[in-house]
Amino acid sequence: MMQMPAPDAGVITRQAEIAAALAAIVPDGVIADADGVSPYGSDGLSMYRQSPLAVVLPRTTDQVSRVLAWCHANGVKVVARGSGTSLSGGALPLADGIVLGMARFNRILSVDYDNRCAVVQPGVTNLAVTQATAHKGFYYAPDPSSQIACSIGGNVAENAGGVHCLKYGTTSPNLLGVELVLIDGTVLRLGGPGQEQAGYDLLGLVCGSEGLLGVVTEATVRILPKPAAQRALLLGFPSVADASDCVAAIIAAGIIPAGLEMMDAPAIRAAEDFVQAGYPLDVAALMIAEADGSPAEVDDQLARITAIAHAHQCSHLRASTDEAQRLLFWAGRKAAFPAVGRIASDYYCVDGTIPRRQLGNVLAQISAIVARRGLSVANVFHAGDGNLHPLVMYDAAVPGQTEAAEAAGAEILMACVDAGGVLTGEHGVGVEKRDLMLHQFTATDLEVQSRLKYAFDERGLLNPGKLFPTLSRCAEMNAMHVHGGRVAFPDIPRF
Amino acid sequence: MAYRPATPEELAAMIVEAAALGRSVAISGTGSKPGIGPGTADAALDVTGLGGTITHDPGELLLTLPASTPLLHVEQLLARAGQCLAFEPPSPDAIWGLGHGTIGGAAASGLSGPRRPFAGGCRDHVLGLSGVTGRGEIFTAGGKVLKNVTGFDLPRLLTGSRGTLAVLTEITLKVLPLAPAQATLLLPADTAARAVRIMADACQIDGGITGAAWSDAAVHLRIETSVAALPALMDAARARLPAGTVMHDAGSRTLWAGIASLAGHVQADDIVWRCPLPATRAPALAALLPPAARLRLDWAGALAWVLLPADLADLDLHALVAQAAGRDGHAERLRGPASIVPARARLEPGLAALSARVKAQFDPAGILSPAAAP
Repeated sequence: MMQMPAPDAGVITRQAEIAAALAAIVPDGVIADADGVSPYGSDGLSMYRQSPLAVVLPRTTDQVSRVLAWCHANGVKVVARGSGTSLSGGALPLADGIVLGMARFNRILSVDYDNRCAVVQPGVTNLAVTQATAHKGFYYAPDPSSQIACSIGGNVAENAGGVHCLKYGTTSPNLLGVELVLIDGTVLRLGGPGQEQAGYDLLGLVCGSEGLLGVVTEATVRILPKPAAQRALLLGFPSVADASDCVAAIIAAGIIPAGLEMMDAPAIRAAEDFVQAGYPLDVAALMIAEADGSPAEVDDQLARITAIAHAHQCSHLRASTDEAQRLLFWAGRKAAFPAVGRIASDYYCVDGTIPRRQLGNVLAQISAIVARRGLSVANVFHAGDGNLHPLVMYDAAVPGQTEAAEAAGAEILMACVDAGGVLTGEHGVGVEKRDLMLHQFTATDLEVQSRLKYAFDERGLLNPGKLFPTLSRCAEMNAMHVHGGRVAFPDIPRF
Repeated sequence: MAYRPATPEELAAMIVEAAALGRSVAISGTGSKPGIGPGTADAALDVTGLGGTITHDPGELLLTLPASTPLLHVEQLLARAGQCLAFEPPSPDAIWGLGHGTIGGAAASGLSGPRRPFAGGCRDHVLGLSGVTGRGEIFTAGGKVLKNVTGFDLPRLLTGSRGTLAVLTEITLKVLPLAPAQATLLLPADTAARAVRIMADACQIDGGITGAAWSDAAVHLRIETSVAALPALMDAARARLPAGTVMHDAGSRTLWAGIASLAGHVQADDIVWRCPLPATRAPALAALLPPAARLRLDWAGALAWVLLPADLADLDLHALVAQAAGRDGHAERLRGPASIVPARARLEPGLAALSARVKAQFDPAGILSPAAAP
């Protein structure tokens, strides 16, 4: 089991006193009984569970500031939590710390169409921003898999991605400003409705800092006019190598599709059995290429992609003719995780990024790694930006298989790094990949990064034990674990 | 006193020495942006001797290169492969007349051109970097892939940090296809208010716009796309916007190079103020400017360039931007004679304190371009 910093017994014995002090700041928002805090004991990485000392549910920035200042003065650790959908354990509580739940910050404060931005509280869900602006023809571009549930605050903490990152970027390029509360209670504004802040790009640093630097109490996000047209191609290939070459050729031709996704044969079969999206079953790799923009741009781009695909042994090609069909193409891909959950008693989702040209090489390694451990794997990729999600299938009821799957996941991520890639493309480091950081970075690289923690939180009270490795390296790490085919938030589509 | 390292190891040793002696260094490439950095210091640190190999990987959309690489060289290299830096780093030559600078200087200044609101800024295209901290540590941050959330985002923090946190030695950039076709619509607009209204309306629809600027009583709207799609996009834009004229291809490209760099806009003795602010606040700023001031808007109105004659050297643009945009805008004088008005405004106290703590972690001795620190 992942080792967390040793809890401070002195703090734990003061639980009642701490809860009472915090209740004086947030009168109707402190949960301290065992049953009450239990639902907060885990996030989307459900294999790890730890009940916090107490849960505090503030409503205002002033309350957040006073809670943090009190915890700072009293040496109490704080784990901020949005919707709890993190796949890397970013919101995993600490036995000697409180959870600061931001769910009550659930209002969209303003939408400014002329400056094309929205000011929202951090507990607002990702999809709600799009829903609130759709009537004016706008949307919020980042679309992480859990977008019906995940919060903007959590998206900022993790620099969350989605299937349209190649063209539209992860959260960071779509984030214009935040109100940030430091652990000592200081309230700062970073950025705002303009395009550039004065001084250091602290907004850029805070985005993706996994709750280690401060608590976001307000976010200003960029909204975009919805594309006039969106159409998708479904492309089948006789081998993954042909499909990979096709991806490379599309990019080399100067095309940046809105989405460029790939699945291998086990993933195709599982998805087709589950949602009957009409996927061909006689192909080794399936690609979804989506174009968006004006109808003229979309027609032009899809025609060029079609020509490139035919030059790469494409054996199956269909273009969506209406919105229902486009969504059907996507339905299988979006249901790939639960679909794999139906055929395996447990699976384990890995998240690494590699240079695209290494796809064939790394896939071969992935197959060898899982085979060596007597397991099997289904692969889905954000092929356009080289982000892989191998789903390692195992059975937790068979002794040793959980450990084998975890070890395989770690080996896969190290293979990604060795191929010139990185440990995480969009799920974050959290607790799961923490101890692999030294495989990607030198000790000096990590020290330069981790020193910034002192500039924001000298006493190390905000989300300790995440992102940076502890001294003892631990073999168990990385991945979303699904037991008995069930994942936390089973009704959320996973990408 | 001048340092001129040839390798990162030499650079690290020189920084260790300077830190031990408490000797501050003014970090500079070709010195093309004297209004932005590095300012004065005890010694010069010239990084143009730090060579290295350029790795351009068009298929991966990646470019890794030494910080000392001339910007013009980068642009020519990419253009030959049909690619570009999507953030359009503005050439500093029109403002300072000291050449086009290096890619390291472009990243360290963090300046972004007209595509900023549509394709992201410099900060969004720096994927990875190597450098040396003020402690003399050689480090690497970010990665050489397009999608990466591993660890703290040092590439964004160091982009635009003006050499005050670390000396950049190598940079990995995201590069993107250069749109094969472009055209610009010119729409009459005699006031900033009218211009901002037209630009906001134009940007309410997804229509391939990659530039929206205002100068010389005209809004300029650039549309970039494929050759096949351009006519339809232009027709659609013209159908929903006020009547105007069209400029194609080469003429359009020259026009936008000028908008990015102020070439053809800035006059010899002009004082140049750069003022990012919310687009809708630009008309309020325009209303506060004296008649002799000339205003140019870029970024659909979110970047105001204020050009002043020499006798307005003491006009306090910080106060005017604050009056127009409150905390949401700021001003910086990039060029101009000595004045009682500082080139940069102080940060708010909480932000200033945090920025100083960040600087102290990278550079505890405070030796890296101290005059350029925020």
